Amino acid sequence: MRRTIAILLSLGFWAIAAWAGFWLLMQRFPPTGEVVFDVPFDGRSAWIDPFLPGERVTSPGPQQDGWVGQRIIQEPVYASARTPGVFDTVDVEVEFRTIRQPLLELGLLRDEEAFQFEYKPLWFEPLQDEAVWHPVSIVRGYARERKFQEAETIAVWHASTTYPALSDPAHAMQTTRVSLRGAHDIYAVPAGGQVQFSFEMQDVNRARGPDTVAFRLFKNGEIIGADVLGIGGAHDSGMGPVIEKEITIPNATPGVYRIQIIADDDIFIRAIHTNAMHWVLGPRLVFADEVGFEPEPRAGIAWSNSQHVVLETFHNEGLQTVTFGSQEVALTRTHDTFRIDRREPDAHPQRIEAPVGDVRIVGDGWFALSPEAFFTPQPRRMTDGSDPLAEGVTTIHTPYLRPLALGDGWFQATTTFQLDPREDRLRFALAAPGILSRTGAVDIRNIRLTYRRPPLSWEEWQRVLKEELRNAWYRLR
Amino acid sequence: MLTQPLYAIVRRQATYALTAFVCAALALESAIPGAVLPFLDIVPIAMAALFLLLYDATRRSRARHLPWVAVVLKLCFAGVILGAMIALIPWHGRAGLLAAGVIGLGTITLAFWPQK
Repeated sequence: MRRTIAILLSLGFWAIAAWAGFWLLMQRFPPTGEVVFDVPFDGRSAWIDPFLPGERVTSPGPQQDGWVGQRIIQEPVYASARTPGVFDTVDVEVEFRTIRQPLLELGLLRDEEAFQFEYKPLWFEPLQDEAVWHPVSIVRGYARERKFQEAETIAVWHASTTYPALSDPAHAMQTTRVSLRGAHDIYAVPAGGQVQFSFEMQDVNRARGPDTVAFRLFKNGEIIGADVLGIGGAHDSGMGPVIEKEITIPNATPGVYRIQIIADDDIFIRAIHTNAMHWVLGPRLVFADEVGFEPEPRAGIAWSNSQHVVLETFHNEGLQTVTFGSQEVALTRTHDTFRIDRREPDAHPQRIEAPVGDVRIVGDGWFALSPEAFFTPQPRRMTDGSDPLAEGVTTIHTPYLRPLALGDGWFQATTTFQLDPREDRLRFALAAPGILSRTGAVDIRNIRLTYRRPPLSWEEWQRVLKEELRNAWYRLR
Repeated sequence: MLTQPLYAIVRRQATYALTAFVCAALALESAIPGAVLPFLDIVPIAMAALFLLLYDATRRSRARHLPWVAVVLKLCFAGVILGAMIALIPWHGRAGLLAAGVIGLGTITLAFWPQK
């Protein structure tokens, strides 16, 4: 009898240990292929951290006006989530409330080195008016009227659109003397069957050391090539030499070509030579200063179809009055953003002039450095300053789904991201453009993360196990 | 088996089962961060395993030859668990530490409970 009791008790302990181990494994490898974490945003969940940095948010937990969660008062803010295994997608369902903040975007970090996020729409207040904006499934977005729309009245918000098949006749190389700083995107129409650009680039070495400039080439949104330029030596500390870099796309068929220049703010473009008749930059244009290069500052002049531009300078020398069409704004402080909003529903490009350069401009349209070079590679973007009704927008291409109203000003919005199976942690960014200048806030009280992959079959089990073993090997080696 | 009191047999088997689970869970967590800790606060359980194992190492071994090998092995396992727990300390909060303390005290009490 004693022997039986002893054996049964011992087996019982081993069975409990085995069951606990099995239960842990089932959390990692759920047979349904779906794991859900529905967590109050009070900072206590092991699955998602509260938003940071601390100076842009309140402490997570009970808030002054009685609700529990976290308030965001500046942007962007970042939060990390722990992935519970190898999954293909994650649905992020956010319960939020906005105060004087018309637009929110949620991003997932895609390129750690370039710190690039893939942003998805989360909230756009003007589209909440169901009587005016109707969901349209054909173009995936919202429209005011069910009829053919002029291209100028179409806008996009995180949606890809069809690029026009554009081409120009052969054209001689032309030089544009301009000082641009850091990363830029150039969109060009091929001329005579080729796209040819040559950039005069300089490492100004304000941060000592070598720099690398990466070029990525796209046609109609699809990558077709890449190039790289190493510039500056490890011990260089002064203004570096001007180096010319050529980018040529021969046999370019009609379309829109994009040259993405990835560089830090130590890299200045001093001149651009191109055979393109039509080429624009955007949505970011940074006129550089001329300190140490030219004796006098150079005016930054461009033409833009933007309805809204945000301007910022980082130097006292850059304090100036910038004009955009008939409007102007005085930049009176460094490291602060200033806006110009055009309210007329006129997409015709207007001249924007910064008398001493040295200013960063971000718009919802495109910038050309001469009026005849202007073209619109894509419809204009929706931004936090957009008022689609006042601006004559009739259709918005967007994957945005109108959030569900929960009452008392709270909404529930869901967005989905594809996942990389090698990632242990996801880094989210919440963008609330203009929140500081309009003293707005975003309250978040709950987040529901739903990770998905196909239900476990023999093949799926093999795939997941292989990924887990590979990830474990990389972690432990 | 019958030469030992029932209590000692059950305690020893419970110790080994718990140690096996804790070691497996710690190995899983180190290979796949987030596979265990968000679901289960392993520290109090590891604490129990550690004390039971240390206590068991002080008891008479059933091995006829080289009984000290069993003692060294138990101490090694205890060392692994202790090291893992130290590594895990930043992970858990006040509640986990409190639970670890209570379980630790309880385990010591049970382990040193007088027996025939």
